[in-house]
Amino acid sequence: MQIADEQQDVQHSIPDLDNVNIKLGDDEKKVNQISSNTVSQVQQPQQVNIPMPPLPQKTADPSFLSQLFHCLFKGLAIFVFFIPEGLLNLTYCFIVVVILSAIDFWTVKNITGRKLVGLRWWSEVKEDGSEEWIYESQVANFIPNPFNSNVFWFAQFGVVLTWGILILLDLIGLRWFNAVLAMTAFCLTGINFVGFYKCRGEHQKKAKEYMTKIGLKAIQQW
Amino acid sequence: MTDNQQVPFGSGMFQGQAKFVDYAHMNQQEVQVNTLDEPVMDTLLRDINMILYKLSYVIIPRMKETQGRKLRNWDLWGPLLLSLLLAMTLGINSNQSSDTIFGTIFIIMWGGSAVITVNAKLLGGQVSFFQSVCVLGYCVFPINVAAVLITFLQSYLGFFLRLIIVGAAFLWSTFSSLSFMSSMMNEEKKVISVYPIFLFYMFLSWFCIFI
Repeated sequence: MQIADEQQDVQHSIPDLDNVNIKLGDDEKKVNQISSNTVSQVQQPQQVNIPMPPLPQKTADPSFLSQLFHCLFKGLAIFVFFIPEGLLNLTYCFIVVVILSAIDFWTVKNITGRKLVGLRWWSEVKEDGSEEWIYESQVANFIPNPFNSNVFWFAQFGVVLTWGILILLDLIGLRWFNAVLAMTAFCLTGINFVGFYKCRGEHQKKAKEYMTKIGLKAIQQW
Repeated sequence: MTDNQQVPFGSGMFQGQAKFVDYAHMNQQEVQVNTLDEPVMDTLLRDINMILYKLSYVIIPRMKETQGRKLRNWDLWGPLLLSLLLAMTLGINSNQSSDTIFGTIFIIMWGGSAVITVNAKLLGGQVSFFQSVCVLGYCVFPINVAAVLITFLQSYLGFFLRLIIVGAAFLWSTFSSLSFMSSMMNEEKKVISVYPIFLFYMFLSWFCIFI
C-alpha cells in the first residue's frame, strides 16, 4: 500500500519484513522498521476466508410519488365521507367511498407496500379448498427508507383508527347507513394493515436469523 | 423458522395456513415469480387479465372443474363492480326511490352470496368462503347485461320480450355457477346446495322485470 508519493523510497508497502530499506539513517531506519513492523503485523494477510457479508442494501430513496398515492385515496375516501347529505346524495356517497376504499386497498396491497416497505402478502386457495396466506419480503438485509416506512405505517394505522372512531360515533348517533359504510372501509383498511403487520413480523425474523448466521460464521472463523 | 414452513392461521371459517416465502434460500427452480420488484403496469395487467379470464369463464361456462383452476385466485373486484352496476341500473329504472332499490339490491347480492356460501360450507363442501362469493358475484354478469339492455331499450320492449331476455340471462347465470358449485359438493347434497343459487338468481331476475 503506497502511503504517500514523497515517501516512495521508504518502503511502507506491504510486508516484506526482509526487504526493509537499510539505506536510510539510523533513526529513520528505526522508525521505518518500527512502522513497517506494525504495518506488516496489521496487514499480514490472514489465510481465513470470511465471506464478506453483503453490505446493507442502500436504503431506497424516499419515493414521494408512492407516498402520495398511498395517502391520496385514503384521504379522499374520508373527505367524501364527511360531505354533508345536502350536497351529496347518500347513495352516491356510498358508491364513491366504497370505490375509493377498494382502489386504496388494491394500491396499498400491490404497489405502495412493495415500493415503500418492500413487503407483500396475498392468499391462495389450495387443492382441498383451504386458504393459504403467503407473505413475501425483500432479502434479509433490506432496510426501507425511514421516511417511506413512517409514512406507510402512520397513514395505514391512522386511517384504521379514524374509521374505527367513525364507526363508534355513527353507532352512538344512530346513523346506520354511515356506520355500515364506515365498517366496510374499516374492514378494507384493517385487513391491509394486519396483512402487512404480519408480513413485517416475518421479515424481522428473517433479518434476525440472517444476522445470527453472519455472527456465527464470523465467530467460527476466529 | 424454516423456509416455506406452514403455520396455522386464523380460526373457524377463515382458517388457513400461512406460508413465509424466503427468497434467500430458495433454489432457482423454487422461486416463484418474484413479484416484489415488478413494474406497476405488470401488476395492473395481471389483475385485469384475471378479471377478464373469470368473465370469460362466466360467458362460456365450462363444466369441467380442471379448466377452472384459475378460478382459485379469487378476487372481489368483479362482484363489487357488477353489484354496483346492477344496483345503479335497477335504481335508475324504478318508480320507487332509487336509494331504496340500490340498498336492497346491494345487500341482497352480498348477503345472498354469503348465505349460499355458508350453506355450502355447512353441507360439507370444500370451497373457500371468498372463492365462492367471488364466483357467485361474477355469475351475476348475464343478469347485469339483461338489466342494462332493458334500461336502454325500455320503450322498444314489450313485457314478453323483457321476460324472455331476463329468463335467458337467469338460466345462463345459474348454469355458469352450477358448474363451479356442484363440483365442490358430494353427490347426494348437490341439489340442496344448488337450490339456493337458483333462488338467488331468480330473485335478482325478478327485480329486473318488475321494478
